[in-house]
Parts: sequence; C-alpha cells; structure tokens
Amino acid sequence: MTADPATTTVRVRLGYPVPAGAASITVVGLDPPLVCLGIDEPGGPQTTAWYASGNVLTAGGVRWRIVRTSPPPRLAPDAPPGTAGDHTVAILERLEGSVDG
Amino acid sequence: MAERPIRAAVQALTSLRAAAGAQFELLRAATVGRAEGAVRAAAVADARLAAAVHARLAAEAGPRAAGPSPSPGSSPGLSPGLCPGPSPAAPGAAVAERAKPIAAVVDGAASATLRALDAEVALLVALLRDTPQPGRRPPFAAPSASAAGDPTPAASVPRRAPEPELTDGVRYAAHPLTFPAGVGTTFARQGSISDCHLVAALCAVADRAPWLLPAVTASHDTVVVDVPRRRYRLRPTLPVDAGSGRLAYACSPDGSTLVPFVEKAFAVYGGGYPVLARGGLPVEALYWLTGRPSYLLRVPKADDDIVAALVESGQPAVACSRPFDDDGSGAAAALRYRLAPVAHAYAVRGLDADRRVLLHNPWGRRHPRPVPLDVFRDLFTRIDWCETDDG
Repeated sequence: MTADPATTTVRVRLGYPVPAGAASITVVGLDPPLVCLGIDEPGGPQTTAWYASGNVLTAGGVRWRIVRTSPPPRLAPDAPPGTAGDHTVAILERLEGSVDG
Repeated sequence: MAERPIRAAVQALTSLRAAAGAQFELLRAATVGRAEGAVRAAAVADARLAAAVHARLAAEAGPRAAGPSPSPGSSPGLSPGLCPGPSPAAPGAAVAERAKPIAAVVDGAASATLRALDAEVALLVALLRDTPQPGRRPPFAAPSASAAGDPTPAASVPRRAPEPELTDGVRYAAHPLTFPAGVGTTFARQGSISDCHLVAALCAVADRAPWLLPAVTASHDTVVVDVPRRRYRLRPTLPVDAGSGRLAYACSPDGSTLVPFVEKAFAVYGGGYPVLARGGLPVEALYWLTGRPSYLLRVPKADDDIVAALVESGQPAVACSRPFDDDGSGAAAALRYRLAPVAHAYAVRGLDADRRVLLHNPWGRRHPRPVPLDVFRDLFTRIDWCETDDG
C-alpha cells in the first residue's frame, strides 16, 4: 500500500487508515460482503458509506472501483487490540482520470 | 525517586528548546525585516539630501549655466563625491545583503542558546542513565542487551541497535531527530501498521503524564531513546513508504520525528515492525514507556463507578474495544459511537458532564463519540493503565 499518486491499487486494511491519493480510507463497519468505509479528504471533509464489490467511490480526487471485499477473521472476544489489523478488507482499483481534472 | 524529576527536567528542556527555536525564528524574521526597513529609510534620506544639494548647486549656477533642467525621474547629476547610496527602489538583494550582519548576530545567539540547552539535556540524560532505578521486575519479556543496543554505559564505544525488520513495501531513509512543537494527546498518530496499542499508550501518557515520556536525544549520528531501565541507540533512519517516500508508520501531525523514533525503539524491543503489526497489549506499552506499575481492569466485570473512577483518575489509561465480527447488535452500537469494527485501542480522555467516556483514536481522526458507561462496559473489554507516581 502506498500513497504514490501513480498507485493503481489500494488495499484497505482493518486496523489503520490507508492513503488513497491525497485522502485516507478507514474501515468503519463490516457487514460482509458489504464494507462501510470512511474517507477523510485533505482539509477535513469526511464521508462514510457502505460499499459492495463493483461500487465506485472518490477519494483524494481520484475515482476508485472496489474490486473485492473480504470478511474479517474470527477473533476471540478478548483479542488484543490491533490483532488482525493487517487483514485486507477491500481492494480498490484506480480508475483512469481524476475527478479534479 | 530521583529519576522522575530528572525526566521531568529533560522533558521541560526539550519543550523549551522547541519553543526557543520557534521564538528565535520569529525574532530573526522580525530583526531582518526591521534592518531592511532601516536600510531602505536611510536610502530614501540619502536620496532626498542629494536632491536638495543638487537643487542648491543648480540655483547657484543657474545664471552662469542656463542648461536644461533635469527631467523628472532622471539622475540628479550629483557632483563628484556625493554618493546617493542605494536608491529606495534598489533591488531587494542589495538590501538583504546589508541586513546580513544583523541576521548573523541573531543566528549566533540562537545557535549558542540551543547548544547550551542541548548540553544541559545531554548532562541530565547521562545523570538519568547513571541513576539507580528501583522498581518491580518487568513482567514482560525484555530484549537482550545487544538487541537493545547495550543498555549500560561502558568505556567502549556503544553499539547501535540493528535496524528492526520492516513490513512489505517499506524501506529505511535518513531522517534527523526533530522535536514536536508541543506534547499532548494529538502529538502521535498511527501509521500503516497495526500498533494502536503503542500509539494509544503514547497519546495517553502525553495527555496525562508527559513527564514520563521517553527522553530522546541525538548525538554523533545516533538517536538515543531512553526509557526506564533501557537505552536504545538507533541509526538516524526511519521507515518510509517505498513508493511515496513519506513516513510509513507512526508520525506527528507537525512532521517532527520524535514519535517515529520512539516507535522504532519499541520495534527493537519487540523484535521488529512485523511483530508490532500483530497488535499487542497497551499495558506492556505503558510499562515500557513509563516504567511505572501498570495494570488492567476487566471492564465487563467492573461496575460503572469503578470504571468512572479509573477514567477520571488522571492516570494514563488506554481502553480496548472488542471485535464485533459475530455480534450484530455490538457492530451496530460500534458504528453508532464511531468505534472501529475490530479490536482497537483508544486513549482515555475522561468523562463528560453526562458521565460519558471521552476517547481519542490513535489514528488521529474518526474519534469516537462520547460513550455512556453502560454501553462502554458492553463494547470494551479492558482498560490498561499505569501509575504516575510512587504513591
């Protein structure tokens, strides 16, 4: 996962924000196969919405298609914080062009 | 305990250094600005004087030499020996050149002051290192001396710790140690690694007991992180994203590098960043950071008053939410209160007027809404906390 503007794929992780263009994406909720993603744009604007595979979203002035979603692993109720934080919940693919022109 | 006031002094001097650096920058800008203004004013005065002299000479020579008067904007045609100095419209570079000596004086004073502060911090850190540190035995596995970069002062040249292993897509890049402008809950922010247990602990300590934060110094191409009972000598490098070159893991909003160096020392302690990425217990991070007795409270087994007392106690505390993967109602409540859907650590801020728990997300964004105590006991598994004094 990188924040390189040329990045074509973003792997959204369960446990921490990942950069997507100039924005960052966090997992806010899970209801497999749906995922609720929070998008924090530079300067403060936030959006939160549920997505399924094939949906398109805009983050950091770039359009992304959700290629795949994945349910979280089963964890013990008292799992330490951060456990499974690296699990990939959704894979986003950059669509050509930028909404900012 | 003699250690505590020394650590507090180190912390205070570190903050003072950051503040002094900022003040010197302001002073330099103001001084250079005033110097440039004075140079320009002098140039204007010189030009007016020259014009007056020229007018008087022209008046005296008027009948003898009835030549054309100088057109507006043309050179006043000064007599030899009358130097007008820089014109008011002289290029900025020339004015700046005249202001350089004054700026150099300010720079010299700033440099001497900051060096003196650094020397004081180094002396205190040396004193801290040599101070016996009594306390209970760490309940957690500690790294070997070599892994920690030789924790004891020795006559030989101390070795630096090996670079901790990185996660995929990350490399090391040179980064000098820089200090944050201020220390508080928001000064540490989690990066692209799942070590919320450490970053939340850092935020909690910074919020409630900043004098217990690690002392971090730089000398001889080495960054030294001092935590109780252990010293980490690190290379001045930090993990960066291989693609963008930006800091990959923990960071500070102001771009300072103290937080990522503390995280790097914790990675040395823990056995590499991939180990941190598996998550961990905040109680261990609190103990590693502060050396103070650290405990945990099982939230579902405690009543509201105990939870409220701990939340309001002023001790650094980290609340751990449970995973909601198999609990629809819990997941809905987590969404309502803006909790991450996974086991996650939050720094505890206190209670609001309605006795709801205030939490800080170490992501630095998406902070939870205030959580009522009964809901808190349902959604959270534990609160890890540490003492701040010897009691």
